[in-house]
Amino acid sequence: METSKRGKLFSAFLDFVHEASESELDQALRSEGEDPNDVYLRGQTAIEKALSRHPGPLEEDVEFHEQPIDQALKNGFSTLVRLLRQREKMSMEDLAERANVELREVVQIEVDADYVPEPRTVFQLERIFDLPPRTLVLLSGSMTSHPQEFRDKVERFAARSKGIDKLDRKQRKALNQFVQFLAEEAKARGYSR
Amino acid sequence: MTDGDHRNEAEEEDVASPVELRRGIEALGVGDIKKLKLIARFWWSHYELQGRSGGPEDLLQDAIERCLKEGDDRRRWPKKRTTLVKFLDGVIRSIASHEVESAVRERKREDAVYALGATPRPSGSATPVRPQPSPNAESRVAAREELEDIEALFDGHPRTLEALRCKAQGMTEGEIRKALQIDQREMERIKKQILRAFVTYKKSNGDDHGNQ
Repeated sequence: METSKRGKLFSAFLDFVHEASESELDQALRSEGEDPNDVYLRGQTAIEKALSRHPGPLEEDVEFHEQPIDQALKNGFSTLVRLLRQREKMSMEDLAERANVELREVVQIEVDADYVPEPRTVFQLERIFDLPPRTLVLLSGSMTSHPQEFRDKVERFAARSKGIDKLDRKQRKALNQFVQFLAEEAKARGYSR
Repeated sequence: MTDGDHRNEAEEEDVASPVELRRGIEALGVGDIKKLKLIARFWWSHYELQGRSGGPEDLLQDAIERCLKEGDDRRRWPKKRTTLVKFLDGVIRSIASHEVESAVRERKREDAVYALGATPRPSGSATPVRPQPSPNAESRVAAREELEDIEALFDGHPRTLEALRCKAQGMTEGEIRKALQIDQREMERIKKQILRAFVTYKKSNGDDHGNQ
């Protein structure tokens, strides 16, 4: 076999690995007598060491601590995720699959007013919807300090979008403008570089 | 503005900022982390880096540090073109292959010096600064191709090899099933076999010294 064909076969082998789910990987490890948790801990330790040797600006940017949930922002977050999903013509299942998060979490984001999503989920959603960095973080409940006019604008967006289950041209425009507003806000606060 | 400028601008937008990259790394899921750990072990074994200090985890750590560090030689994640895990896979592999290449160059340089005859080669080998490449690892790098024989890995399993050949042609799982006329159950069996081969890939070389 030519070497280029071998190379492709090798890549195909690795593609199967990249496409494997966590449970499939766990099963393969267990069948070979390895503890998946041990593999995870070793990987996590290596990642933490690397992160600690290169402290980034994130820690100063975000205040992650227990705070009462800001209902106005939370409504804005739920509404925004729901409308973006509708804009992309995705079901909740589609979104969960594409963002590689559990369906339960997508449902909670959209319907549970007290639910604060995991940072990983917020990041995944930003990627799937192709949003500028930290656009969703602004609303997700992990940041607590916002000017009143920002909160007002979010509240207005959520109120106006209530009950929409199919976006018309005007609503699509309003949604895009709101995303633009969040992106500018994130930039103004120095969250996107 | 020239076409080149437009291209550069588009490429810049495509690349994750340091903040985005860091957030991406911090947001890696448990499954992603397991995969990365195993990928590091895989490349460690493939390039036979037993002479390198540390273990596969150090390779993973190095890869992430090269992405996080400041400077022009920072590895940049083209976030719209590839997932973070696939990107880090590429960085890990590139570090591993580069180390073998450097070791090969160093050995050739040494050979050239000793060939002149002015300096006697010390008995045994000098303390290696870099891993000493095995002939296998050396040939892999020299050819710049994957010479590892996947066919040998699945010797006696023609269905699995067929599935890999289909995948190499860019077929989806459904297309592979159709092409090979196999049901979902058989496809799952093939996937399991591939994953088992991945987790045991040359384990005796790379991971049996507490570097699991």
